[in-house]
Amino acid sequence: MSLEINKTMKITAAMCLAIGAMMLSSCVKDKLIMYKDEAHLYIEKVASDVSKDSTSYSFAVKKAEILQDTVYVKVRIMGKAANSPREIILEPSGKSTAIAGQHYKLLPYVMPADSFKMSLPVVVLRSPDLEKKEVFLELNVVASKDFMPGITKQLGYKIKINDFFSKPDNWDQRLAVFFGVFSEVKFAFIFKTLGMSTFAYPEQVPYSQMTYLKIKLKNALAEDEKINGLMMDEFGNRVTFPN
Amino acid sequence: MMKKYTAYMHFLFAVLLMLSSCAKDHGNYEYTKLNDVKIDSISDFSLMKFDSLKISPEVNQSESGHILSYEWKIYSPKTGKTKTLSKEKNLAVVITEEPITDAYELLFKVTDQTTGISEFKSFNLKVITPYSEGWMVLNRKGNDVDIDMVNPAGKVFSDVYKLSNGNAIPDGANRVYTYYGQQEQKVFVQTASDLLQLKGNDFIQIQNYNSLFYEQPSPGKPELYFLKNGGDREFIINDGLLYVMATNVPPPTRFGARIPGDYKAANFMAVGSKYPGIIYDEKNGGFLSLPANKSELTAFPLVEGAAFDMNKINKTLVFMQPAPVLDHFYALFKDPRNQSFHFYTINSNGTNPAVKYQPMANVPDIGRASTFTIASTLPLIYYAVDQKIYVYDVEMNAARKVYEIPDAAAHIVALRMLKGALVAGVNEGAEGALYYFDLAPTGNVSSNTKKISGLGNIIDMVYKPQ
Repeated sequence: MSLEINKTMKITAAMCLAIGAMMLSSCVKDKLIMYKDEAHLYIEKVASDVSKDSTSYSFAVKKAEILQDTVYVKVRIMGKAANSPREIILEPSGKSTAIAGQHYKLLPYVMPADSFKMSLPVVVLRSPDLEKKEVFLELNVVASKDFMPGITKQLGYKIKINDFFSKPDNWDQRLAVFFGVFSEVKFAFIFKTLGMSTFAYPEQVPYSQMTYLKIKLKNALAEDEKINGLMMDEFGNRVTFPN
Repeated sequence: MMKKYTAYMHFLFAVLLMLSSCAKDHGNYEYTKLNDVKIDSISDFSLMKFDSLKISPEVNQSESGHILSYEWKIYSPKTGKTKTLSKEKNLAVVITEEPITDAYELLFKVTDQTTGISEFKSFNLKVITPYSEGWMVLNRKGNDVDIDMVNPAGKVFSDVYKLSNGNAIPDGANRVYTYYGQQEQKVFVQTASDLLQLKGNDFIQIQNYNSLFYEQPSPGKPELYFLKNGGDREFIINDGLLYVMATNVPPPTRFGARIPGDYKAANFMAVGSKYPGIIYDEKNGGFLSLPANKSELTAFPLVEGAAFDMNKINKTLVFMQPAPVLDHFYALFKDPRNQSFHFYTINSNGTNPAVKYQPMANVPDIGRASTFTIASTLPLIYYAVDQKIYVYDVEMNAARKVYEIPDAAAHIVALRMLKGALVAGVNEGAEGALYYFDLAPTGNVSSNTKKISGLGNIIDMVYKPQ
C-alpha cells in the first residue's frame, strides 16, 4: 500500500518538476548568434537582374575601334567585412571555350577592406575569330587564402562573347512582344536604325517608348524595302515587326 | 485511502479553478455621463484662390462650462497633405490653396479639454479660378492671339494666357481643345507649328509639342489633338499623319513615331469601343481604323446591310462630329468633281459601321459654310454662312434658315452647342461677340437670349467645364 502511494507521489512530483523546468526554460535569455565560420564568397544574384548568372557580350554593337571592353561579375561575401584587403580568385571552368589572352583576360582581384560586395572586372577582347563563332567563358569562385567558396549554386558565372548580332538576354521574355522573332539580320537592322542594342524594358525603357521604337522600326523597314526590296533574315524569312 | 484522497484533491482543485471564472465582478466603477458635443453640419464651398473663407459653426454641448478647443484642417487630395488653417472657433482665413480639379476636404475638430474626446465635421471646398469654367475663346487683338474666357455668368476675362505666361500665344494660334483624359482635364492650344498643353485652371503652359513626343514630327504641323473623353488612347494628326499615345500603360507615356502606311488623314476623328481610332484617308478616299493595341491601320470589313462602303467614299471630308446617338458620328463630305455635299452616319461601335448615306439636297450655300455643329438630341446639323444660321434636318434631307444677324457685315466663325442651347462666335469688324440662342423643340431658334461683346476677333472657341 504505502509503496503504491510512494509511487504515485513520485510520479506527481516528477511531473511537477518537469513542468516547472519547462516553464523556467522559457525565461532564459537568448544569446545572439554570431557568424564564426570562415569567410566565404559567392556570386550575387538579384532576381530582377537579367544578367544575374550569365551575360552575353557582343562586339558587333560597338564601334570598330573598340578592341576590348569590360564585363563585370558581382560578388558578395558571407561573414564579416574585414579590416584588410582579401584575395579573390576566379577560375575558368573546363567547359569554357574562350581562350585566356585571346578572348578574355582576368585581373588580380581583391576585396577591399571593410567591403562586403564588389564587381569584378573581366576584360573581353575583340579577337577576329569572334565574327564567326561565339566563345563561352564560365568563371568559378575558387578557394583563395582569404575566402572559401560560398553558396554552392552561386559560384559560377557564364559570359558569352562574340562579334556578331547575338540575341539579347531579355529578347524572348521582354522584347519579342515589340520586335517579334529574333534574327541576326533583324537585330543588326534595329541597331543600325535606333543606335541601341540593349533595351532595359520595363526597368528603364517604358512601354510607351518601346511602342515608339517598334513603330519607328516599322517605318524604317518600309522605307528600306522601297529601296532594297524585302529584307530576308539568315533563316530565309522576311524581316517584319509585330502589328 | 491516500490515493483516493489525492484524486479528491485534484478534483476539488479543478472545480475551484472553474468556479473562480464565474465570480461576479463587484468592481467599484463610477459611471458619469460625458459631455456630449455636437457640431451642426457645415455646407460645401466653392471659392476662388485668395478669397476669404469665414465660417461660424454652431457648436453645442450637453454640459455647460467645459472648455473646448478647436482646430480647422485642410486636406489636399492632390498632394495628400494636411495643413492646419486655424485653432479658433470661428474660421476666418484667406484661402491660398491652388485651384485643382478635385475638391479639398476641410475638417473641423472640437475637443473637450476635460474629457479629451473630440467631435469632427468635414465638408468640401472647391478652389476655382475666375476662368475654371466657361467659353475659351481664341481671339486676336491687333497682332496678339490669346484666350478670352467667358464665364457662365457672362463675365469676360481677357487675355488669360498672357496673364499666366507673360506673353501672348507665340506664333498665333488656330485652335483650342479641352478634354477629360484618364486622370485630369487637358487643355491645348494649337499653333501652326506647336501644340501647347496648358493647366486647366490657370492656363499656365506645361508642355509643348517637343515634350509631348519621343521624337517630334518633322515638319511640326499639328492639325488635330483628339481623344474620347476618359479614353485610354490619345491621338495627334500632324501633316496628315497619325500619332498615338496609349495612356493605359505604366507611365511615363508620350507620343511616338507616325503610324505607318500610305495615307493622308483628314483632321477629324471618330472613336468607339469597336473601332477605337477612325480616320479618313484623303489619299485613298476611305475610312481606316487603328485597332486597340495595334500600330497598323486597317480597312473596314464589308458588312451585310451596310449603307455604303467605308473604304470607298472618294470625297473630301468637310466635317465630322459625334451625333446625338451614342457612338454615332455624322460626317459631311464634298464631292470635288461637282461640288455636291453628302451626308454619312457611321457607328464607331457597330458591327455595321456604315449606318446611313444620302446625297444632301436643298442645302443653300453649304459650300460657303464657315462652321458646323450638331444638335444635342435631334438629328440636326447647324451651319453658318456669313451672318446667317441654317439647320440641316437629316430626316427631311433639307436645310432651312433659322437666324440672321441684323448686321450684314457680321461673320459667324464658330457654332457650338451648350446644354441644349446654340452659341455662336461672331466677328463684327475687328471685334468678336458671343450670341446665345434658345432652341425650340423643332430645332428652330426661338430667341437670341444674350450677346457678350468685348472679345477680340474670334478664331476658335470651346466650352471648358470646371
